[in-house]
Amino acid sequence: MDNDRRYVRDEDFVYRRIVDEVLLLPIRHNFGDLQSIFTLNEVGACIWELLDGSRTLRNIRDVIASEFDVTADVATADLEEFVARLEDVGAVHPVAA
Amino acid sequence: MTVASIGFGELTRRIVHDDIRARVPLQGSIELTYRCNLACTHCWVNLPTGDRAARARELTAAELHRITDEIVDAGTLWLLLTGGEVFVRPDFFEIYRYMKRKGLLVSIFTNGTMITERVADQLAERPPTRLEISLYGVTAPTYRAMTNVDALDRCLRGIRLLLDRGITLKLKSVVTTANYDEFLAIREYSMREFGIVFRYDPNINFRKVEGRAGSAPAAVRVSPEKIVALDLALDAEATEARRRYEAPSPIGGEYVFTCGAGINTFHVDPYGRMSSCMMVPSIGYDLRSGSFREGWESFFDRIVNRKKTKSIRCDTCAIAGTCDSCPGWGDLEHGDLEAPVDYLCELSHRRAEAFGSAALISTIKMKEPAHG
Repeated sequence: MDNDRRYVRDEDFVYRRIVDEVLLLPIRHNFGDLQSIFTLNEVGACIWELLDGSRTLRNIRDVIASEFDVTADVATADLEEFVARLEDVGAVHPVAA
Repeated sequence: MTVASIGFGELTRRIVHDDIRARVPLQGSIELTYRCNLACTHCWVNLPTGDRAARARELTAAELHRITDEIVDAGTLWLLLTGGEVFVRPDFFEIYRYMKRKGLLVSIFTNGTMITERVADQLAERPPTRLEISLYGVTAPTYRAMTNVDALDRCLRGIRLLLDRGITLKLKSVVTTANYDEFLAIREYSMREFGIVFRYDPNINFRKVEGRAGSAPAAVRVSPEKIVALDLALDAEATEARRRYEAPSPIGGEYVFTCGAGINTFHVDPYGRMSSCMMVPSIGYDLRSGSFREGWESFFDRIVNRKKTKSIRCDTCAIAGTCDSCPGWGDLEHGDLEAPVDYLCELSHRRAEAFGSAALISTIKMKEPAHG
């Protein structure tokens, strides 16, 4: 993992909390495709809020490891998987170093 | 796993709790205008596009932004924009884009005749969750008989412009005496030209627009016998009716509203009057005078906890829970939330006879003298 990478959220994804659900809603995609709505768990929601383009993945990993009951290794793996998935769907973009 | 895709159905199941005290207004609808460029004989609200008095009363874009903020804060996710014809409003996209930006899943009902290349391009940029177009006929005389306007070509152009841009849409129509004989042709055309399954609605309401309330649209209702014949002729619809009426249910209970109105759904008319559903304009709350939250809270006693005050024939009917009748129909047709609606009663019984079990049919026939 390149811990110095930074990512920024795409403005065309809206983050909402409704009752117990945390949702990512892409407003430019066609919702006729039901797979375009994403739900996040609490770790994912926390990561999403931290992906502001200024924090490095190392910073975010450290926050996750301190706020949730996970080891640094697990936090790293979760973060890698999450960011890769978000990048796949266009919800985040890497920030040039 | 920190992120997962989810479908509408599963999402709804997860958010909607059985506990009605957790009332969250997840779904809403807003009529942006009662004005329309068509003048359909069956319509319950339409006013002329140039009706200045109606236009002056409509919620402004700024007021709709404020309502959007409030419903988003309250937890609304799905929102239907309908009319009238939504695209008669020149500020439609200002309103629509704001709603999308706030994270609402916006659906649109339209007659399709005002969808130009520019409109289609803007919709393609931020597609609605669901878009439904009314296709009232596929021959010019039938379309005109339904709408009083020669606009079939514009409707078909609108459909093509959207499909060319990859926008998913549905085609539908009410069935009236004016297009009944063309229905099979509309369905065949929709599939052949657009690859879209066409669905229909036999339910035509009395008018609800202030000062014009009346029964005029009922004059173009198709008889229940002919509706059942259509159910049988149109496979998909017949299957839907069969599924519902194979195992119909009674309604029972002590409450007037059994549909979830006031628990998870709300409606706002063009003038800012909020109600539990677009069918029940008589119980409202003025969003120009107060907040969405106050209006929503007021519905708990006025809608959710509203108890029946009388006995009606539906109380003992074996299929009342499957029938389309509801307090809204009673309200519009008789000014009485608890009143049965004869047209729906007859339609439901004919459908149950056509699709239900033998045991059910004998039960229904015993109750038949109660009709009317």
